[in-house]
Parts: sequence; C-alpha cells; structure tokens
Amino acid sequence: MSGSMYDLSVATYSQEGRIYQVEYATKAVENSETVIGVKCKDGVILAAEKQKFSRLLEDNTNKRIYNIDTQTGMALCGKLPDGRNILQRAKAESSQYQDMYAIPASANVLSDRVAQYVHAYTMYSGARPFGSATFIASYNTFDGYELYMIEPSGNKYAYHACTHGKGRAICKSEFERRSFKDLTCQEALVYIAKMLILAHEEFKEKKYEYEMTWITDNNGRKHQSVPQDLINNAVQQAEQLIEQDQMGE
Amino acid sequence: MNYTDILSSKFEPETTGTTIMAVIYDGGLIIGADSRTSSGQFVADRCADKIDYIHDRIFCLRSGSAADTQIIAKHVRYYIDAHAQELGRLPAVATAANLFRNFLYEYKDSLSAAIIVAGWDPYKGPQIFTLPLGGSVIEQKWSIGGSGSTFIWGFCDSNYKENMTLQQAKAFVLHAVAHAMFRDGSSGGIIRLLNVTKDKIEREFIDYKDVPVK
Repeated sequence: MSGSMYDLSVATYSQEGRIYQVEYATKAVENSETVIGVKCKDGVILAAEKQKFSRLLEDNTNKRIYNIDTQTGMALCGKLPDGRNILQRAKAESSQYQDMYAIPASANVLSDRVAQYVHAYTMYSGARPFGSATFIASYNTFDGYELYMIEPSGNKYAYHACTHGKGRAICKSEFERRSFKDLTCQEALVYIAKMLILAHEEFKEKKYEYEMTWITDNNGRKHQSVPQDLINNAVQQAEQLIEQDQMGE
Repeated sequence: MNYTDILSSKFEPETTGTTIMAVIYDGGLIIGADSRTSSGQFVADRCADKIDYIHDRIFCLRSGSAADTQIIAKHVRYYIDAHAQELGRLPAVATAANLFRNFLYEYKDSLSAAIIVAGWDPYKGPQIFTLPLGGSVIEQKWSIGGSGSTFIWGFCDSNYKENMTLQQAKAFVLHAVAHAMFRDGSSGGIIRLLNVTKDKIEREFIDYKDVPVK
C-alpha cells in the first residue's frame, strides 16, 4: 500500500478519497499489544497484555488501563505516550463536565468529546494523528454498562465487544464464537485470558503480564482492577484450556 | 412557553418586591408567586409572570434585581438546552441549580440575585434548590423568597407538613402567598400556581376575587 505523493501530509486526500496518514496511524495501533473490551451479563471488562520486554522492568506497574472517574475507565492501545495524552484530555473533559453540570459525564458524552479531540489531529498538517486507540468502559444508572472504542481516525462506536492490536483477529473470532452476554464477569475472565494468550502465539517464549479491570454488579459498579489472584487463576486455567485444545487437535 | 424577555410584551423593569414559593408534595411540587412588578410605588405590571421556564420540568423563581436575574436565567436556559440535547434525556434539576450557582458565585460582587430552582427529574424526583445572594446552594423540601416572604416564615413553619397531598400543598402555597401579599406592599395582584409532576405541568391562575386573604 504505497501512497506515493498523497501520504506526506494528513491534510491531503488520495485520489481514491483516502487519508493515508490516518491509515498509517491505525497501522501503528494494529502492530501493538492487544487490548480487549467486553460487556458481560453483569458488567464490563477491559483487558490488556503487556510484554515484559526487559527483565529490569518492575512487575505490575506501567499501567495501560486508567480511571477517568470512579465509574469510568479507559484502556490504551497502540503508542502509549499518545494514548496518555488522550487520557489526560478525557480526564479533563470528565472533570470539567462534572464541575459544570453536577453529574458525571456519561460514556456517550465522554467518548464523543474524546473522538472530537482525536479527530482534530487528523485535520491539520502541523500535527500528526494519534497512534493510539482508546477504549472507554463505564456505568451509570440511566444507561447501564457501556463500552466505546475510539480509533485514530476519530471514529467512535459503541460495542458489546471490541479489540485492537496484534491479536485482534483471534479475539474477534473468539467473540463470534462465545456469547459473553451470557457469562458473568467472573466466568468471562478465563476466556479473556485465553484470547490474550492466543494473541501472542508466535512470541510464546517472551514473558507477559496481563492487566484487567472491571465494572460489575459485584464490585459496587466501580471501575477497579481485577484482583491479582483472580487474574493469575484465569491465566492458569486459560493455559490449561489451550493445551487441551491443542491436544484435541 | 412564557418567559420574560426584552422582546416580549411582558418586559419587566427593575423590581425587588415579590413573593415566591415552592413546596414538594407527595408526587410532585407546587410553585407559587404573586404578580406585582413595582417601580418604586408605581405598579408597573399588576399581572406579571414570575415563574420562568428553564426546561420542560425545571422552573426558576426570581427575586432581587430583575435585570440580573433575567439575564442569568436566559444564559442558564441556553446552557440547559444544549446540555439536554447532548444528553438525550431530561436534565437533572441539580444541573440547572449548579449552572445558576456558578453565575451567582463568580459574579457575587456585581449581582443582586436570589433564585429558587424547582423542578422534577427522572433521577431524584421533585427537588427544590434555594440559591441565596452569596452563591450557595441549599436543597430543601420547601422554600420561600422575595420581600413578601419575611411576613410568612411563621405561617409556613407551622403549616408545612411532609408528604402533603396535591390539594393540601396547593392550599398551603395559596394561603401563604396570599398572606404575604396582604402585608407586603411590594407584593400583590393575582396568584400564579404551577403544579410540576412526572407527567405534566399544570398552570393555575387565581384571580384577585379568589385570593383567600384580602
């Protein structure tokens, strides 16, 4: 996919009406570590894989999933520094909205503001688009559990399951096969771990950490990290499931 | 919807005289106000409408400088409209109260405005927020304001009951406002009542001959 002369600036369309710089930004996300968001029967889960690219790294730090407010979380996929800029903006929007309107920003409003911000960087030649896709998971009493994904183009959609990064194809096919809507969050953890492990099949020898957060009926509907022991159990069980599948073949 | 604006035929000059009241009952709330707009001793409008529309189920009662309160209500009406459009559902009464409060607090040195925000929302039902001069917000089950309110504190304190029926609440507001109008020179005319519930808004006009205390 060569853009020849039409890919030098984000402010230039190609002859077919494509904006190559935005597509290249999306490529940056597609080549990065997998992130998953999924709505279950009783809540919503965000999960990310983190490769421990150096033994010098401290465990369970270098987060990719953050709180925007008590009931809203954001997961970053792609270039993390870009993602953190978007996160800062989302936090500011959420806090200013609450300051002005005395209610927390609902997911559709917040994701709209984030999408507009991300989109703005696709309009001017002076700045490059963000190389990061962000996932927003939230709960509020009126709209219930919500999940949105915002791509580098500024496109945003509400999903019941979404994924981006290297392992997105594997995760998408798993989403088709399994009805997460019928699983509780606790039950779903194993299958999410399984998806993340399968996502980096080719890099099995490397060490990985898994970061998962959830908002469920059982944890007071707040956005919190899944307890580490639950994650570890889920990873263990997932590895067993994968072994069984492979032996079955 | 009726609201006072410079372009409308009910344009109000400077006034501080008024009696305004709001009471929550079991199922909604009743808003009441007198109808006198005075410029000194001259009654500029004897049939004014002091119940301002902010949103479909949110109203405000204004006291203090008419100019100050009108312009603030106009801004809040605009912000609430834009907010409700983005939200896609009815705004919270607390949101309207917060928007008013931001004005009253930021510009407290330049303004002379005290407002009662009253309405119904699907999140917390009927609510009343009193916003006095300094820009604080107090949520209350009933609230009175304006120059006429000073004469009826005793009456209201002894006659208010929680969880009144619609009829009881209407009678309470009617008599309270009537008593205030009786003793306050800056309040008078007719009494306007507004019943705000989940399903509807009902305006009522109590003509001078039916005002209970005169």
